Amino acid sequence: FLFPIKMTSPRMIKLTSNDDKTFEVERDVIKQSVTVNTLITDLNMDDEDVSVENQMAIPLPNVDAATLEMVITWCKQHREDPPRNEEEEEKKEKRTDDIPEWDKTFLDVEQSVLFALILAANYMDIKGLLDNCCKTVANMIKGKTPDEIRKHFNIKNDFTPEEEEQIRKENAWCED
Amino acid sequence: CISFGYDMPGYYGNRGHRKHHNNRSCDGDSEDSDSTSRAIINFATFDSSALLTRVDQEVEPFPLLDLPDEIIEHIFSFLPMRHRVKMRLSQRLERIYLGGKFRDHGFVIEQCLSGTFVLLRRLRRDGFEAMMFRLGEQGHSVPRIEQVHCMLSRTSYGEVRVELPQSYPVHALIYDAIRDVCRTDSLSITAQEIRCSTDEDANLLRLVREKREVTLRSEGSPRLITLASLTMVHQALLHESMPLKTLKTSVDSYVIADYLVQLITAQLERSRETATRIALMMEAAFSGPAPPRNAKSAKVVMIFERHLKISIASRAVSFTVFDDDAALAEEKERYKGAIIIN
Repeated sequence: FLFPIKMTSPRMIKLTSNDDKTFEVERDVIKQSVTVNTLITDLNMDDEDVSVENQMAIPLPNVDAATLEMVITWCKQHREDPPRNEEEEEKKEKRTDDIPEWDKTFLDVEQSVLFALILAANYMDIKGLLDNCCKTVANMIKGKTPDEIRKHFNIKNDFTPEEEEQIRKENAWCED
Repeated sequence: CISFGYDMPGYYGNRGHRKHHNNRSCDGDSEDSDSTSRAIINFATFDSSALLTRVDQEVEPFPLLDLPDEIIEHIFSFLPMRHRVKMRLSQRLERIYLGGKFRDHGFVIEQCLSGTFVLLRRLRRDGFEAMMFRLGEQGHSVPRIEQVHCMLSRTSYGEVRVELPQSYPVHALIYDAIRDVCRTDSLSITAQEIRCSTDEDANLLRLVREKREVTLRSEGSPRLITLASLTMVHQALLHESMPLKTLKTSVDSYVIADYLVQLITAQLERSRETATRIALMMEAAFSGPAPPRNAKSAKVVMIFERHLKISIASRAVSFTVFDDDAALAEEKERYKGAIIIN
């Protein structure tokens, strides 16, 4: 006997950016966003037997289309990553030399794009992406003098001379 | 003109968002990567200083201060301490630095030069970085205990070790700092004398409250270990949620050792789970006078039902809890002649 094999296509979710562009993404890919995942669960979208055409799109009012496209690309790349154990992550020593090569290339973008990605990762609650973006910024800080850091991040000095002197004294022991 | 720009195909490469490394054309009129094929420089008229100035001006600053505080704190958390302190560059960043909770691998405090100098080695995966600080003295370029106090309070550690074989009164400042602000999974103090600046029964509880494993070794009982201080820890373990799993200490008083035995066996009467919280393994190394004649000596007490072994030798007491049935069965076989309480 030959039984017909039922092929099930992956469940798709629609996301809309703040500039009204809609993206279709596999449910399994976007589960890395805690924000989207929670919305899908709360709205019982997993239970609905509706085609993707008739499905309500999840609005992401804080993310523009270009950034959302990048976020989806990152999520696709990391769909096989093991789930994070936040308790273990908290205990780990934080380091910045463990960004995967793919992510290094992916995040080698203009500063404004990296900035938008950080905000999107934070809003969509994608911890892996947020961590790697923040590590990239941390790497910009490492090895720079305070003056170079000021310049790189456009940080104005609003300390009084007394406060500045106090901080200089406190930091004296760890200057390179 | 010349361009060193590159574009990668894919998500952003063909839309101009990908970073261009020094990709500004020398006449400033084009970012077109196709122009690499037309890389011609007229050296007669080329003004390199103008190029440098333009490149310098065009480096796009990262808008760090436009990020919310919690993300800036998250970025700080990835920085080693020596880089993190460099971010105290504005009132807002200072506030984030002061309010942040960070985590580091650990550190070791050890004796150096004289009693008023102590070496602090910050442990890293690839070794350690060392800094020396002076205790309780003003006007010196090396940090004083207040600064170390300040540093400890913002970071939690995997491991903290204090090794001070000689005893100086100023060392009490270190024990005060560890008691008051140090959060670590594992704390180990090996010193001639472990003593805070004031002798209070609450010192031990305050010292162990935020730690999972604590080892205190000194010549004789640490000043922190008294019947009253142990009772306070005992009560806190019963009634509070504390991370403490193991407390190891040297003891030179048989009275205290005996009290510890009572304390743990009393815990066993309640439940095994509670008992395991108080002292999974305690070693009482008697360096003081020999125990009295009626002391429990040279015997092993196995409490199989509770998976606990208490070994009492003439000058040492140790406790072991077995989570594994096979390991317990092996121990049973080893101690066939021992006193057994079922």
